[in-house]
Amino acid sequence: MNQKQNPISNLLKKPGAQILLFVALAAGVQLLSGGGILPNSLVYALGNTLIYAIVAIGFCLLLGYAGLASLGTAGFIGVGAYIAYYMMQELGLPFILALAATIAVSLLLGIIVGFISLRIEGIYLAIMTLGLSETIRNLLMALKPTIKIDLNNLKLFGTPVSDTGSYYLILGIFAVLMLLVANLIQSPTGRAMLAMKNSTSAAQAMGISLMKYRLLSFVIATVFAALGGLLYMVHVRTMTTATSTLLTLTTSLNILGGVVIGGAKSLWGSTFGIFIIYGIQSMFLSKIQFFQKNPAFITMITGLLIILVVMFFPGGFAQIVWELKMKWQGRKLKEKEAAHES
Amino acid sequence: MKADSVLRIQDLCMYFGGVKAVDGLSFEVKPGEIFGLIGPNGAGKTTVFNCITQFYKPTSGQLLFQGEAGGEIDLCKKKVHEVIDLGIVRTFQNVEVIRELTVLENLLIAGHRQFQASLATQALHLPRLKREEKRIREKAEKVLGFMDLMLYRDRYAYGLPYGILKKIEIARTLMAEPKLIILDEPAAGLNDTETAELAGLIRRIRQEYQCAVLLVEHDMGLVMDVCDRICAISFGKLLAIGTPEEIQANEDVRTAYLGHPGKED
Repeated sequence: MNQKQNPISNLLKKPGAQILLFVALAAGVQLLSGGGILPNSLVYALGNTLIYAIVAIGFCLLLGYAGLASLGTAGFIGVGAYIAYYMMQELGLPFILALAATIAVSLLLGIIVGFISLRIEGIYLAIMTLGLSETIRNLLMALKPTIKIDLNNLKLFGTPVSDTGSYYLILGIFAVLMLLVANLIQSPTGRAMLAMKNSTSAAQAMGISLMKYRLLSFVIATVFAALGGLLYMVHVRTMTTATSTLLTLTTSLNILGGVVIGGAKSLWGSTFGIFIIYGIQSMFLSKIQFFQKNPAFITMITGLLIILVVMFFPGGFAQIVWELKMKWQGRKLKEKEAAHES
Repeated sequence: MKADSVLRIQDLCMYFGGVKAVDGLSFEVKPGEIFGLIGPNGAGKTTVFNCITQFYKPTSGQLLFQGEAGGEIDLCKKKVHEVIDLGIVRTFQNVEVIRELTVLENLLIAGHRQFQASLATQALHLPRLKREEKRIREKAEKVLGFMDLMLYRDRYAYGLPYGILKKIEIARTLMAEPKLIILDEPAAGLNDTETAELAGLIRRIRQEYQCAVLLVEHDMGLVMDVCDRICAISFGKLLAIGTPEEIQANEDVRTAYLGHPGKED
């Protein structure tokens, strides 16, 4: 059990350090594009992807830890987007108030869905949340088919938010939420959720209240999704329900797909999965002419990836990385033993 | 009120529609006693367990547990996840170990109620949580040592042999300051050596933790070996309560298990 590892790899095991490193890299991309080395569109696409990554982190907790399946993500994103529109564009309120309103409303919504999840489980819960999401989408469409926020209505602490500003805002919120969830996972709450996922009866016998943890996981997933919607309106600033897929089942499935590809129990894995689904598409594939002409092929690639991963690595990319690590450690152990014997 | 019993069950009835799974059953478990509940398949043994641990709310009857202060606590007023707070912990017939957690973490799950850190403390990993985590981890390691499971401490429960999983379940009950441990068929699926070990283990647990043990078991060898008293039931009704010798000699119990002598069906 003598783990004499170098201090850097030990430090990198801490979620705080991982997040700092990620933020530094993401800021580096922005700085490089500011210096003209990387295209501006890359940063924009990266910001966009990070928004979905925020949604995915919440979903990761819900699916990978609490073991609850939801297809309602898109509806919750819509709630955040419309609150952003009404608060900032219609009422001219600052971002911080829109943020507070988004959290408050989605919190309530999460509690309601959480209560429902106490009665309905598995595939029926997925269908129920899908129905709820569609209801929300139609409601929002009827309310206003196109929402658009003018740049000068986006105020953070009194100053208008620029493109760079919104990128860093997204990055900052991503980092904070990532840290909170990473900590939660490595605490009694995370264990309680896993227990609930594996065996509801054992969890209850051990003193875990299903109600508390189901509500909590739905609240987190719903709030994160709504925050994604809010940030979408800060970043993209416009959304037309007739053409955008943001509020449709596609988004819910993409988030689900990203989390499954990346590894439903790994936050970084899920983030990576979202990069595969949203990032690669918007950053690279959409630049290639073939895919521009045939956008359906992009979706096909995503679909194929999901099939391959689920068939061969049900734990997602996180499982691949983990297995490689185990192999590497096993080899090092053998080398050590060999050195010891000779 | 009788103060000399940990658990007192009075006229317990549990009906599922027209099926009377438990029908007017009464017995009591004394402090430090190993109490066996036996009966043919479908007699309602597990239903009794599920009623005690509040997985089922009984149709009627009383379930009284000896509280800390000496008064009796009505178990039916507790929620299923609050029962463990009283020191009533159970295992399951088909081992319910959390396979996605390590053996140590499985024990921490049982210590869940001992964490007082708020959600915010947990989300920020404040020192308070780290202190609690350390304290409960040490406790879990002590239990692992007692159960001779230290070897498996950091192994994921997934893929561990059945006998070990059963031991993990028993280890989990020891995390909760147990006053009454409820074992649902602890010997099912174990070989003879393991069953013999189990008998010793149950006695050691009673000795070390000063608690009562209530067990359902089909392995008559084990039941007759470890139990101080046995309650035999059939079709939800009480047949007999007594020492292993008395139960073995009881006509009704024999009939329930072997059928009527001379009557063919």
